[in-house]
Amino acid sequence: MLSLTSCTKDEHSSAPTHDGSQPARAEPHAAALEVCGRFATLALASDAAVDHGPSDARRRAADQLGTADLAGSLGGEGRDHDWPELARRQARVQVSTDPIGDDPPPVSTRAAAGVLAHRVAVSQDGWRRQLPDIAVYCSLVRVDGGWRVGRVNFADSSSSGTTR
Amino acid sequence: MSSGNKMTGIVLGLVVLLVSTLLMVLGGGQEEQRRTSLTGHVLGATQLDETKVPPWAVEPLRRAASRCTEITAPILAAQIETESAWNPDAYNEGSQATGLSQFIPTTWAHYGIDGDGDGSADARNPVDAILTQAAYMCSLIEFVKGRDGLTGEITDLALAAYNAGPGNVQKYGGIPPFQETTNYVTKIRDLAANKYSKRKRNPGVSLENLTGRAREVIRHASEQIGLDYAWGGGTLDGPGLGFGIDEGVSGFDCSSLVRFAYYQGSDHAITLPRVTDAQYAATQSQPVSVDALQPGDLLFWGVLGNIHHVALYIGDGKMIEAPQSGQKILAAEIRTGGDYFGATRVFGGPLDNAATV
Repeated sequence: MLSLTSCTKDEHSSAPTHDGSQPARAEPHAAALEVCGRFATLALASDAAVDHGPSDARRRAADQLGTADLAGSLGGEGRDHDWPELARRQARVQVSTDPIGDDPPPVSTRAAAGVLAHRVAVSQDGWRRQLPDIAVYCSLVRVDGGWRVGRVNFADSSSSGTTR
Repeated sequence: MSSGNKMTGIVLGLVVLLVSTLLMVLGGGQEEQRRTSLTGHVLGATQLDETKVPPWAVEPLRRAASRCTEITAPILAAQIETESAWNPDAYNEGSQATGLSQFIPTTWAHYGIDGDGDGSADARNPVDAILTQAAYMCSLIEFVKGRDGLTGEITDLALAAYNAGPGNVQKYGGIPPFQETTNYVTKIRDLAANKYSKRKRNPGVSLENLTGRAREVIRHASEQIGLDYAWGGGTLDGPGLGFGIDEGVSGFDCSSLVRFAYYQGSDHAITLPRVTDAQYAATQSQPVSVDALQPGDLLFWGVLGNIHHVALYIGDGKMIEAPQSGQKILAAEIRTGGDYFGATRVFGGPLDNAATV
């Protein structure tokens, strides 16, 4: 399922664009993607046994992997309709991710990366429930030679019909 | 916020908002219930006609419109015209409503934002006022979504709550029967749709020969032609801010564009997955060869397991696509070279099970 590191430099530098031409600036964004994936995993991995709400996990992710300003801008991201049930069951959320391959833009002083986060809620009594997937988009900036998440969006990824 | 009902309505509303927020945080469980009387928000045009607003308002409105999908720049602009006629120093002695967005002191105390980073949140500062207006409207949207027993369209109810207070919307189960409030909602919707919206006339795309359900899907896509590509931007309801080098650019990426077009064009009956690979996976049971393409079909590029681009076929060998960063949404001849992977049909497939159109 996840391959946060499978989006390698070689894959990116050799992949043709959708018009068949070679990308003009196929800089690697594997490192940025890896940070975005870790951020998404941390941000969505709520543990209702210890957290006061879904925003706690997002704050942890921002503290570990975000810029100094990110935590303050995440104030409105805490809404999660699944939280009441998670709290009732003292459940935690397990997260796995797949890279979003939709032609991410070239890397410069900033990078864009996204992952599709698959979530399963589990509790100690064996209860288990699959939660809707969330597409997580990150803007990343270079800090001390690495990437940190400067802005993030948790996008609805549901679809109609019988496929989900 | 110019109603005589405003003071009591807003004070009551603030209490309701605070209690409901507390309940959500504590796991109140009410949100699990179904709300069948609310209608999803009716999409208006999302692109602001920037020539119709003061120059100093353009950038704050762009920022404010990214706060939540329901509250667009045209709606915010229409509200400001109605509230203050674009006067940053407007003041109502009766209600003490202040500034562009006519916030009363108690509401400002809870929601006021320092939008320009000058160290203070000031209701007379246009940037602070506009960003706070958007934040408050988005909180009212969440309030409306979180309440059972309300009837009406979500954005209309949020506008009514802004004017008469969320407490009155709750009390009456919808838009309160105050003439001022009903006029307020009607006027803002009208201004937003006509004066403050920039509607594109589908350059290069003719809808005349299109029939059936594909026509509306293609119409919604074609109305975005000329809008910027923004990676990671775009929602079911309209354009949104991109990421990385597309930071600050409002538009769609390839998959959000076709997702938006199908959702709006099917009257919310068909929702594609968010990303291209999943869109292919969800429609691959109906593959279409190039010589059998029909308007509305999806065209994909990439390899199995890494489908990375999608476009909407519109007939006559043409497609609409959001190409890549730095470019605009456009209509073009289809490309079947390069890493073209194939096409699929959405109508009649698994995602169409819920469609009733």
